[in-house]
Amino acid sequence: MLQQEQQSQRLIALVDCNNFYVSCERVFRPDLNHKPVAVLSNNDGCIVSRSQEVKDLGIKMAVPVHQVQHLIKRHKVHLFSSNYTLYADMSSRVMQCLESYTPKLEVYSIDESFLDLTGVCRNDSIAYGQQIKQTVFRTTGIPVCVGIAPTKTLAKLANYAAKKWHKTGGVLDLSDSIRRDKLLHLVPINEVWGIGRQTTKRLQLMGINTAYDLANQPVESIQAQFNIVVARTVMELNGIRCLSLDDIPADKQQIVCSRSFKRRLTTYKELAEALASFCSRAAEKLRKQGSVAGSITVSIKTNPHNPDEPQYQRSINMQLQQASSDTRQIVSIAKRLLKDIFKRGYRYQKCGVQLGHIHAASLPDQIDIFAANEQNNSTELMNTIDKINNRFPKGITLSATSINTGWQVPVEYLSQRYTTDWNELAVAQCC
Amino acid sequence: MSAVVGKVVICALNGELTVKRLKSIGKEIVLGAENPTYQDITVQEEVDLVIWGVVTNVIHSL
Repeated sequence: MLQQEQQSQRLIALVDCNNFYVSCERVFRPDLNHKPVAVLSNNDGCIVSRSQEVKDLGIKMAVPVHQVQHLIKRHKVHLFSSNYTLYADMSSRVMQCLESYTPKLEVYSIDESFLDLTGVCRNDSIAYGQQIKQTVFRTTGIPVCVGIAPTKTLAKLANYAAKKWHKTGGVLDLSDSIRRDKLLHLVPINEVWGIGRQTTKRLQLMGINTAYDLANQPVESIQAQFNIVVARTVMELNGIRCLSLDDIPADKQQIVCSRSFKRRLTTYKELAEALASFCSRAAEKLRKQGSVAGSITVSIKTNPHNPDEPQYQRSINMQLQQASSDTRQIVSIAKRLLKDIFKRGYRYQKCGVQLGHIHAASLPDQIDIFAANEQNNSTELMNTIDKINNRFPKGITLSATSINTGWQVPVEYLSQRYTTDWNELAVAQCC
Repeated sequence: MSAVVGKVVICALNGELTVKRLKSIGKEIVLGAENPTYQDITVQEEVDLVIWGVVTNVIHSL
């Protein structure tokens, strides 16, 4: 009973930015409010963020741009290339603002965070949520919705509902079990956090269609038929907290860097240059989280959507004798691997590198005593390069990475880096 | 900081960023131009106005 009471006092909020990338662009382009705006993926390939106006046109998430070109033209949809410098900076502003509302914050992705509100807003969670929403908008210009509930899964659901039903005013609290049940009836299971496509199919075959249906399944039988993750979801839907707030995000276990090319590459030299640049970016990410990688995988493939061309796809993996985060070493190994799998006569559409067996750099690796000294120098050099590149983006590229960037796709609709570059600030008229 | 009467604000007026001082004349809110050669703008309902933020500092090159 006591435990029950403690449970019921727990409150978690999920704050999620509305159409985040589009909202970032609109902050600096107020003329685009109420107009259809979409942001494109790397390479300007697919639509990855849509304003409400674009959603209303029936343009779906992640569709290739060329498939909806007619709608874009007819409705004058404003397109933007991904401006990650801007989005990352806006994201950190939003998160910084949220930090003042909770003792415990878990940044879940670039545009959403879990906040522990237990004991923070005992009486009026809705007013507190509204305050968060308004403050974030006032200080950053980014609109957000707030979902509040006793568990993370329910908080996700509350946020989904707050976004979907405008009557909520963008803030919804699901602590009340009657209101919760009402909502669970309305939500299809594929919208429940952690329920993927395959699980959805299987659940539907069992006649489980809504979140309510799922919440009323016996936990044991769900665990037996599915797995612990789905079983936990059932419990979380019932307000029993299984997932805690991770205030320190887990380091990535895998770092992948791959790209499609707009024009096809045919020579080893071109592919190697592209690959080197992916390696350099992956190694930078690796160092940023203070890790080293123990294995490298290189993959290449032709365009599977073009059946008239000869198809080839191959990937190759190598375990490193000593884990590393040195760009030079990773690049040289990746190039060697590429040489092994590269075949002439194909038109390559994509290549990539994946770093695996990642662990903290400070963990004692199997140390090769003869290499130790060299490793120290390497760490210093890499740190210096990262520092310089941090201040002057793309300032230093290492010897092996590409200088000829013919494979790189020009981004056509890139906006300014309004918040991180003195030369690209927004301008206000003084008259 | 809240945008209240008397403050200098950056606002998006019909989609364009501009710098004005918030004034109130009678019941109306007015976007005042500090430059005397420009006229004040009375905020009417059909105007699309978003207050971006309050100006707290100015950096001048001398």
